[in-house]
Amino acid sequence: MSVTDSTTATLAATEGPGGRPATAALRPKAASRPPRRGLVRSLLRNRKAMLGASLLVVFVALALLAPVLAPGDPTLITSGGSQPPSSAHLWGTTAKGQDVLALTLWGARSSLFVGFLVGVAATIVGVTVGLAAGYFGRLTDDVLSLATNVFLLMPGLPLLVILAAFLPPGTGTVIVVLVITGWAGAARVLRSMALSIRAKDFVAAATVTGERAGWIMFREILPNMASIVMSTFLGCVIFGIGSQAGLEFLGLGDVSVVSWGTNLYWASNDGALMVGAWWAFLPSGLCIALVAFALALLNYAVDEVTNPRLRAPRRTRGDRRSVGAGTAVAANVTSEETIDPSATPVLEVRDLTVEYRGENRTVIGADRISFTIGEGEVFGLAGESGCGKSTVANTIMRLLREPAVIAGGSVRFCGRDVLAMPDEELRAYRWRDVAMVFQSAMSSLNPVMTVGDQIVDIYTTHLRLSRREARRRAGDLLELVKIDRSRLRSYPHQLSGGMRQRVVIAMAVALRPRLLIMDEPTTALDVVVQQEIMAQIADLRRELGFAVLFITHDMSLMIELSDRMGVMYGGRLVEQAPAAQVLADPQHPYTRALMNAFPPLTGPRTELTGLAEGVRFTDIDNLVEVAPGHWVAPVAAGSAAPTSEESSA
Amino acid sequence: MSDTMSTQAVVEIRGLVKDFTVGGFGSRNHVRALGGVDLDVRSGEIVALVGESGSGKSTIARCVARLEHPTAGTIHVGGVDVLRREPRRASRAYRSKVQMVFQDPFGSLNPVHRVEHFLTRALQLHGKAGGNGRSASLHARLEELMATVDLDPALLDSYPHELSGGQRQRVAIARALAVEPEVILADEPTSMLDVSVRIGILNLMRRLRDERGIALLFITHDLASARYVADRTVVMFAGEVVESGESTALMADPAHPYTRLLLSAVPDPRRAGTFDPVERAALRAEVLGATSCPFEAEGICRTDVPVWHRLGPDRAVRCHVYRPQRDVARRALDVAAATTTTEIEDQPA
Amino acid sequence: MRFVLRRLGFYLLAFWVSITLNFLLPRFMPGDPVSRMFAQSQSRMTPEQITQLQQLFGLDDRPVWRQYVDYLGNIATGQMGISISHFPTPVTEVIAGQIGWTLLLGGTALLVAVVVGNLLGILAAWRRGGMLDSVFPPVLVFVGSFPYFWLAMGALYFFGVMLGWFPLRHAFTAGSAPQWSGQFVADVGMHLVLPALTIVVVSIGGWMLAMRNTMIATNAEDYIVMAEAKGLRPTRIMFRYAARNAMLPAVTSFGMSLGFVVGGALLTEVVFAYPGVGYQLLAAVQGLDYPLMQGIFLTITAAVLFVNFLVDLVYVRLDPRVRVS
Repeated sequence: MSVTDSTTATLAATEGPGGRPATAALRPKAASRPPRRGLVRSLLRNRKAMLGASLLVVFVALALLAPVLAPGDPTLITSGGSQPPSSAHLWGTTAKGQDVLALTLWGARSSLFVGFLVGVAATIVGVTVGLAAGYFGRLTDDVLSLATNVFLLMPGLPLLVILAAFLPPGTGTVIVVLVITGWAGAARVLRSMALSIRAKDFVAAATVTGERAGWIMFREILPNMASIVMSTFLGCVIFGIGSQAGLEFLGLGDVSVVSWGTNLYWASNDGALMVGAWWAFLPSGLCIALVAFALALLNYAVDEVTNPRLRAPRRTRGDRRSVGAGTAVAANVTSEETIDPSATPVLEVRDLTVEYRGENRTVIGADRISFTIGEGEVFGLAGESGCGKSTVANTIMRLLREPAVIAGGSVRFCGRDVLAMPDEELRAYRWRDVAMVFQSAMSSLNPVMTVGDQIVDIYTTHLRLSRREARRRAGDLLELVKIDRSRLRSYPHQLSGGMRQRVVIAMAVALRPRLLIMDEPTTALDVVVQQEIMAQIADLRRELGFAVLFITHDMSLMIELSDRMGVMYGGRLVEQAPAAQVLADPQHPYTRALMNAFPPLTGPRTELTGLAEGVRFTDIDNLVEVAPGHWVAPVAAGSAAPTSEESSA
Repeated sequence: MSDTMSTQAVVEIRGLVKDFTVGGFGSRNHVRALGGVDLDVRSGEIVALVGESGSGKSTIARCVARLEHPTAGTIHVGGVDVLRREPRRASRAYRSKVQMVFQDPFGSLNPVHRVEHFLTRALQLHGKAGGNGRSASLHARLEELMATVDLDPALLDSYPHELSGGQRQRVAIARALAVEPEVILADEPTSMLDVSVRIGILNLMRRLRDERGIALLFITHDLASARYVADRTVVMFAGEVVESGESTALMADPAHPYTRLLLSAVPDPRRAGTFDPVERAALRAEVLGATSCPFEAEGICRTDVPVWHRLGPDRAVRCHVYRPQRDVARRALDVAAATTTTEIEDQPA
Repeated sequence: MRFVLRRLGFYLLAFWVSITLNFLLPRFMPGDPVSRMFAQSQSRMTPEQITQLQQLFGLDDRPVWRQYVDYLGNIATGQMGISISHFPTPVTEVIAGQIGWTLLLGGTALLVAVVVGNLLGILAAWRRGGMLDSVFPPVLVFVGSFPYFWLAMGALYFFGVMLGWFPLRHAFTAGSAPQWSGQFVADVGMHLVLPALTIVVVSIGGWMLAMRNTMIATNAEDYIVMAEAKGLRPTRIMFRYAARNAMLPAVTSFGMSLGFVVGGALLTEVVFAYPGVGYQLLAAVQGLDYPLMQGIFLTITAAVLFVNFLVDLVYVRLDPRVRVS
């Protein structure tokens, strides 16, 4: 499974590789496959699901075949009581002299039937309530979710017991009682799912198109809940089978019905264990456990398929740290790279190649990337989502995680090999030498820790300062970015978006790193706040003199702030030049398309063109120097017109 | 372009107010998202509604699309007072006049349906499927729609997840076009797309206006694309319109300090010398600072709603001294921050 | 504060629903089971006792609303009637004598299962692909699939009957009087092991898996990557950043699953003849002791709701976002 499929690798790499291997990897082979069948198909490939399903099939088959395998009434007394297993009675007899095997086989019928029916009924109620609450919202939701939560809080078994005690005994009663106590769990899960789907734009879009409520609920929302409905159903069946057995064991069901629960009731009543007749007791319990286990496995598999992260990762040759582990410097280090003006570069990335090794295919995130950043220099890395720019940033910090693997190349910080650093040295290197500002300030701050504690962490870990001293320094740090030091006690959600990003920036410069990586530091912010943040960074840079690796898709912003910049596409660099040069004379058609995405705010309005839909650059060659310091990947003559033609007639 | 436009307003919004209830069950707290907005969209013109997040620009579109119910005000579409005629929910007839394109093409196309489904439903619901709605003419309509938005008809069989962001947004536009609307509300249609294909969507919008005379309300936070595509630009701040006018003129000479602040904050390396943090800080202080209005002592700005100043043909600005009230302004400039994801997702209800 | 008050209101509402359910059940169920009970045990009762029970179960001629108001009044003042099977002890006294044992058993088992389960889950998520992550979950899921009472009987048979390591039934050796002596406490401890162990074994898998899955989700959060980038030690990231946040959903589900644990404890008590309310509930069902049945149901519900309220208070402490909003 882990063998790299090299043909798909190149295909994927040229078609849509990058930092989001999940989506990129889906694209090539996914043609005309409905997502729902995808669930079933993924389940078929899942070992847990297959084991669970086979177990279930066996039990259902046994239940159906009971009249054939054990003909006649299983409760008939056929021999002496409490006989151990023998050839006449393979699984022995009960204290009354009934055949245990026959009882177990026939018991499967009632247990599976009740469990299945409870599952279906509770799921239907749950889906109805969940959908109604989720779709109509407001008062409907208030009332329904209140009812759901009340029922959910009632202790299940005691409620079952008193309901069953008041109702006339029988299988019907058991089913009704189990649905009454079981629907709430289903409804709760389905409601929150329905709510989150309800908030999606496609529901609003359907409304605007003119669809009616019923259609939207059952044709737009419900199909998107397939996997959660399925796992709810499985959960309800488990609940049904288990609770039925519990009720019957307590004698609250109809004890004349043959089921696994009543079998156990009689075994216990007849004191089977006290006389050592374990065979009367073992089979039914084991069957309940196996069926529940099978269902739980299926359920677990559904979870895994919908959330692949839960799957246990494959371990690559016992090397847990394969991700960050040092890799040999590729032999063919090309000298095409710009010679950096400053003598000792702060950062030197050479032929860096990062692969995302999936189970079926490998996607290349970064492909032979080389660049250097000089002391105090601002180097920009431009490109669209999935082009690999974040992959490069994470590699420099050695933050890549499975399934990313550094396949080649080197990263040197002031001459030290970053990829070969042992854990202890790596921890010191992080933040002290190179710090990073992540894309979203909201999510990069821990929501349940105060801002102060998160800054103090840095000082106590790296400088071993006392907490008091660390707190004082943290306050100074906040003031550096013009935030009042009383904010140390604030939690992230109490700050505005701009403030949070300023806090993150303050944290980044806490240890005065030589290099600051900024991965789209302002994308989530409005322009005015963005401008302030960028000005803040410029101030800090003037004061502290760090170099910057600046990553963004906003070419205007990048050109304004960077000294030199590179443009990435599909994991490759397609152009590298001083920022002014890129502005004046962009060479690669992709660079031009990026530039055109930001129309000017002055001058006459002229028609601009972007990249046409579906245009892909493939087999990007090594960069060639076209002017001093200006390197461009040659563009094949064939792909001369990659821009869209929007003729306005 | 703007000279030849007809003067008839397709959408006429007057005094639109929208309050949102915040807090849980039975809460009486309100947040005012729109504070009495007047806005016209004439047929065959693109009007850009610009402003930062929280300025209320999307709320206007959602009110016109009847996804939200305004607290007060009127909306006339084609001369009909729609809130009075259809108070509870919009009719299909209304839907066939007003369509909307959403910000996130990944979210606005249901992943379980094929492209064909979206377009077919739109055609069928509005009786535009052609003839008796049978396959041949329907298919011709579908291919025509795909051609209009520059998509390969072969993609009709695809699922949304098989398309790129730009392709998805084109499908969403085709769905809106299928009902042959008079006006399309485009809520940040390019902000979630890869930058290299954004200009293509803007060009498509221009073409729809020029070739079909469709009116477009283009909601964006990006002044550059507003200037590129829109005939008129309307600037919103803190739930109110603060300035409006012909796009190039407005951006060449912004009158309201907020517009100036916004414009100055847009990075544009081609504008030599405008990247001046000191100047922008001053502007921001001006927007947020105490008003220097001579009537401030009498508190006129607090009691009287500032009037519209006509700055020329088709150009107006609101506020005596081009300056809004301080506390409102501060809240508005900060609101983007405060309203982002502070909700707790799975709190025990 | 508003959050806490809202939750309190909600629990009161839930309790009101269960009281109402209790009120309605004997009045509107087919077959009139309560009359059967009276037929069996009327001879032993005094006239006042009969009237009281009749009022409790609606066997008199007052209008239903009147009955309901009186019923609420009775519950509020703690009058839940007289137990039939423990005649003539009032229901409240019967319950009071037994609730302690249930709290001991349920509390011990819950504490052990929650602490150990969550720790295992944290470790499994931290060492993805390790022993704990790949072997434990399926095994625990399998064990968790067994019915409580079946495992309890198995444990009773194996450790009690066959090996004779632990006593077979009851909470302490018959004949010894409850007292604060080392000997008695040790005796109670020995009696506690098997029932508590069964509950722990069955429920621990759920805790572990839930914690593991939340931890995995949490580990993918940006603030964990940021903590790693900050150069913090792995143990600090694991406990201070990841586990601390992953605990929030665990706390919520703790409240939610309390009802299930109570049910499990109830079944286990039956098997071990442990003298808690669960065992008593079954005895009440078998003895057609409706007043006791209803009293126990209300008591358990109240206890579950109360613990949930405590959990909410803890949650407010743990999650600053709730505190403010």
